[in-house]
Amino acid sequence: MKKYIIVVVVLALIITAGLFEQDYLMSTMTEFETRIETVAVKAKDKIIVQSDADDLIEWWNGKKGRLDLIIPHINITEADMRLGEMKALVEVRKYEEAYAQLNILKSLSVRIKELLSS
Amino acid sequence: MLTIFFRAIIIFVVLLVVIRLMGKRQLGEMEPFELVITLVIAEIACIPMGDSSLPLSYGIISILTLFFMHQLINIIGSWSITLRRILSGKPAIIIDKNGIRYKELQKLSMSVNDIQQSMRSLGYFNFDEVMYGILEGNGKLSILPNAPKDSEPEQAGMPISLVLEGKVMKNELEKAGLTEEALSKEIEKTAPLKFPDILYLGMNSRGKMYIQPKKGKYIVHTMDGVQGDW
Repeated sequence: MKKYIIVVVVLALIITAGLFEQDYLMSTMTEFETRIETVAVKAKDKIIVQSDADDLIEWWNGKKGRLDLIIPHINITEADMRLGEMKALVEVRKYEEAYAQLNILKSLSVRIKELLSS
Repeated sequence: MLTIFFRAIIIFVVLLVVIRLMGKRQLGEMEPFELVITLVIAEIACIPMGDSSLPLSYGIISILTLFFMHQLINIIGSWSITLRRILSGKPAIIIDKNGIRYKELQKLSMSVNDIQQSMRSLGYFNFDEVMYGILEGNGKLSILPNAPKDSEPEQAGMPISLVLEGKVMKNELEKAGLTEEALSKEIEKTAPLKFPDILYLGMNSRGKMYIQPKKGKYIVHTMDGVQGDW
């Protein structure tokens, strides 16, 4: 009986963790994409300001602690670098290049979501 | 995490099938699924430990999945004997009253040398000492001896293998002071057998031969005039 309980508990733990991961990752990455899209439109129209970049980075920094537990850290580091580069480009008013960085970030977000289906 | 869960299950099942197909000689004292777990768990535990770019959860989920599979197989095994046999294998009789069962050896991808090795580790050096040899599911050999083991054995040196799976062992033949022709003539005294028909032919230092044809019962024959010092 004890054996059965352990098997059920372990299975339930894995499935719960898996469902939580799926839900959390999907919603976080979808929100990330939406936020990137908003900033990207501003960058394309050359009306992006420093606070837009800062807000996006702040939002990302608030999420990456949890993401550390479920996605490879290399993806998080890459997003960090792209966000930092984008911020610097906005600072020097290189909007087109900042727009390119934002698009790379969007692709990265899609790639992270695809991790779940690989 | 669910991806890792399913990937770990797939790897486990594939490894289990491969280990089962490889036969019992690959096993130590473990059941096939235990060996698979041992093989996989070491890698799974090491990768997230050594590679800091991977989340620890990857390792934890994989290890939990293996634990789950282990428990599940144990439970399934307790429900059904057939399933337990599929997963863990069943004992195989490789030596019986007729001698070595060549077909069984082929099925298990084993050689005569493998049996000799297992027999020696159990203290049996001659095939005629063994009534039954059973290869257990965990790859270990169990033996039912022909005579009680505490009886005084005939000390006649360790038998040497003169023919193994149809091939004449020239070095051993030289050691016994024989030629292929002489051995062939000696065999013909007992049965119309050619070397390729013989699975195993061993001889001790007093000339006692154990001839196991590939088909049929073994023959014990003593060759006159042999006084070896091996």
